[in-house]
Amino acid sequence: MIHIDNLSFGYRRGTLLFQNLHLSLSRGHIYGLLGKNGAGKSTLLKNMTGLAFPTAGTCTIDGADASKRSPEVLSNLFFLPEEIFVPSTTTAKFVSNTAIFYPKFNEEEFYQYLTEFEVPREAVMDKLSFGQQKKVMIAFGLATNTDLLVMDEPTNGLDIPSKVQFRKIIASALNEDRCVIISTHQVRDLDSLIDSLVVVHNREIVVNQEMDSIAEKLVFATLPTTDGYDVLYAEDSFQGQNVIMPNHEGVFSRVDMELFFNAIISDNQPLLQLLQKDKYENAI
Amino acid sequence: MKTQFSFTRFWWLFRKHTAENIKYYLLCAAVLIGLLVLFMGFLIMVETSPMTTDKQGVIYVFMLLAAGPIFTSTIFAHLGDKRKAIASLTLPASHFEKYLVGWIYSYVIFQVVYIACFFLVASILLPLDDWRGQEYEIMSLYSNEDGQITGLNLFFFLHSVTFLGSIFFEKWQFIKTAFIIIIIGLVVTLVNKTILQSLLGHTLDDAFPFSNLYFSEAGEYFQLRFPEKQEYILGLVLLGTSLLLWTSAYFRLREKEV
Repeated sequence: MIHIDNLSFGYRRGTLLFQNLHLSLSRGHIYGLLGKNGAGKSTLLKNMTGLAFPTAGTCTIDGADASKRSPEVLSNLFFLPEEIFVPSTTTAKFVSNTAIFYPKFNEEEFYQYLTEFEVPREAVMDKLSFGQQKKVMIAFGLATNTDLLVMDEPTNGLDIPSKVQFRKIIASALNEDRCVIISTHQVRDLDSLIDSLVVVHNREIVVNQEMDSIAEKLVFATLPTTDGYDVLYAEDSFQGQNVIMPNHEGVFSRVDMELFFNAIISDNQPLLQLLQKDKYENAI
Repeated sequence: MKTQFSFTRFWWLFRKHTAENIKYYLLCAAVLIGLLVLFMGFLIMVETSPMTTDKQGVIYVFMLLAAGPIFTSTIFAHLGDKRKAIASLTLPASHFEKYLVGWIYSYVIFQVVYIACFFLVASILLPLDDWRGQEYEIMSLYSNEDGQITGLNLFFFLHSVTFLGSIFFEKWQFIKTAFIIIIIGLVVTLVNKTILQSLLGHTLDDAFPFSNLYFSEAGEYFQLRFPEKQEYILGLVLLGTSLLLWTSAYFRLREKEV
């Protein structure tokens, strides 16, 4: 659905934030976009949604140039930024004035999501708390039923029960036509939600893998000591050492995203090479 | 073509814009009425002679050229706020439709509301003035006797400048546009006189851009006028400049990044 080809981007006075980036994202997946603060997650999302223009290369959505912001592309795309704007109207009025732009908008679903998030139906939007406003916009974005749903730090400002509700709703809203991209620095918020992981680091996409594929290649475990084990990355914990090891035996383990992310941003070359092994083999 | 403009989509956008900004626009209209009442009422009180149509014309043009550019400067000011800019730029409507809604509100609707407010205030306050036994008189909208049409033409130009400024600058749109106008105005005035003097090889008394030249020779004062039959060309220059600025504003909107 999204194809980024040889994309470079930099703000006018700064150095390049991305250089020769390549990325393809498909329908039927929930992608988690991870990166350190300032790695350019939001900027990458803005390039994808046509809010920032690449200095070189292209970003297309179903073959259309994202930077053109054509109404056809925009009506099938919903972008929820980290800092949202809500007008000074009731949710009902907002829906009647805005939903019309999205051909697949489902009002029933919208109010159902609001109920699940426990947001009052007739509230004036800008009088709600930030968390409540965010929930209204998440509900609206989901109810647009656009094929591309992009969310930048959607769980910021949500309380713990709402985060649980968010994960549940997002998981239920995915279908084979939809591509959901969620950027966050709160890795745990995406636990058991995303099926693919994209990591931005050092101006590059260092990881773009399905979670199953990561689990096939790596084992995540807690060991009393790393002695005698082929450990790629380890972190101290109360129970001993949380480790990542190559999955030679085809053992299943749950991907510890936080540990995995920390390993990636520590420039763990053996781990990166192992992850990219398939890519090189396919290229040969 | 439907990608660029769809009447249905334009109507949805216009309706949404109106619903979300109506309180602000009504407040603006109330402030305008208040200022007109203050300005006109003050002059009626302090002036001993009645407020004739020529004085009304001065107020009409002055307030139009003050309020119009200030209002126009705010029309795309939301694009300077990242949160609002994202909501606006990702809304599924074309750049042209978004541009047109801003243009209609700041140029067409503003003038209609301004004229309505002016004549409302005038029709209430003027009968209260001392007309010394005469029937009170309200300035005509469609004549240029008191500078009404000239005022509208000047607003036409100032609108195009401030409209571009409202998209171009991210904050302090009016102040920055006014600053740029003053700087460009000063430079053009100075350069215009210097260039014309070097072209004619003569010292000029006065050479304001887009107007006649004045110079003295052998104790006589001369005026070099543009041919009367071709004066419309000066109007075309103004029109062309405004069209160019409006077009630039459209392309600036298309290129807007967040």
